[in-house]
Amino acid sequence: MDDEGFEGGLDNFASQYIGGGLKKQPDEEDVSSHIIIPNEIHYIAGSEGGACHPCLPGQDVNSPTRFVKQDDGTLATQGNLNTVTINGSSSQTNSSSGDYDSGIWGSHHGYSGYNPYTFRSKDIDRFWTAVSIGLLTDGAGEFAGPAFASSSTVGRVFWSGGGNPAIRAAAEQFASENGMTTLEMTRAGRNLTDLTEGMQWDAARPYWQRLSSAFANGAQGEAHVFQGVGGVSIESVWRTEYSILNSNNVNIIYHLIP
Amino acid sequence: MITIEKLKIYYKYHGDGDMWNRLETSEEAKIIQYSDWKLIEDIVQDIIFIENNVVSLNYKNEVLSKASKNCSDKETLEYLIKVANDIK
Repeated sequence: MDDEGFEGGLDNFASQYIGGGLKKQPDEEDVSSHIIIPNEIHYIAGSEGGACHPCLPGQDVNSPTRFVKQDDGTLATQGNLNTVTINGSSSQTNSSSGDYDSGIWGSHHGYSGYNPYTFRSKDIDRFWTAVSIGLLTDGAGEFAGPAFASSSTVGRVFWSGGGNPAIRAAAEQFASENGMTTLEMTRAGRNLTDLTEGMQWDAARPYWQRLSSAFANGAQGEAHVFQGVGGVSIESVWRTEYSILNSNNVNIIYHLIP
Repeated sequence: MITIEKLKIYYKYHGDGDMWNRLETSEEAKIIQYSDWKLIEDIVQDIIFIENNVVSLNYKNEVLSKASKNCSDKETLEYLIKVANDIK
């Protein structure tokens, strides 16, 4: 499938995220999987190339830190630090670099004023929310760019089933059989699915909305949408996708599933 | 049967079935099925109509009867009404 524009966008982001902001250390395991599965993420402080350098209080900026999501929902750090569990007490972070804004969380990537390494409560979701903000801030920017729009020729299939898993399944089957793709079948969609699994609706929705908007913006010619005969939820991101497809004069072909 | 556990999951996703499809955890999948979700959604929508005074008294009684029959207990019914009011 030729959806390099979409996939390439994520790869570009991933290379910045892992290869730039999060330098892999020789003695560290591959951190790339931790982008996909947010139960554990490594942050290597003291990275090179103008990346940001946030670290925990008392931490040597050249020491790697591993953030691990605990069973009870709290966040623990492991690594060269003694294991520290952040369980609700205020824990401010330090930034040892003057070029913080050039880091992955900085304004260079369209996001400023929020340091995801500042833990103010036991609401660990905030941390993972910040992770996804980074993903989508960079990712969507790549996806929505001209290269994305012009290079992608893969047919796009949308779905909105109001909770009925058969609608999504039908959309994915149709896409597979016709050389097309749904958002969730793309690498970016898979990553975001893993990243937002179990996340609160109001935290996850903006990122899905943003990614699905980029996906819709890349549609050309015609797009297929699968829906249940019962209608579409008023909260569905399909409303946003529809507006984009409509304004881009994409021919929408509806498939109603009983 | 509607339970508090199922309602909490419905509430967590704000009644957005598409997002529930995308984000549900394996633990949640063991608790709530689409048939439960649809039942909750139908009653929630009806409660919202009732709250907006756009249904007849007969319809209102039917909805409340349906809600009572499908909730495991009074506490669940009260929580169902709260969910409907919160997400409307």
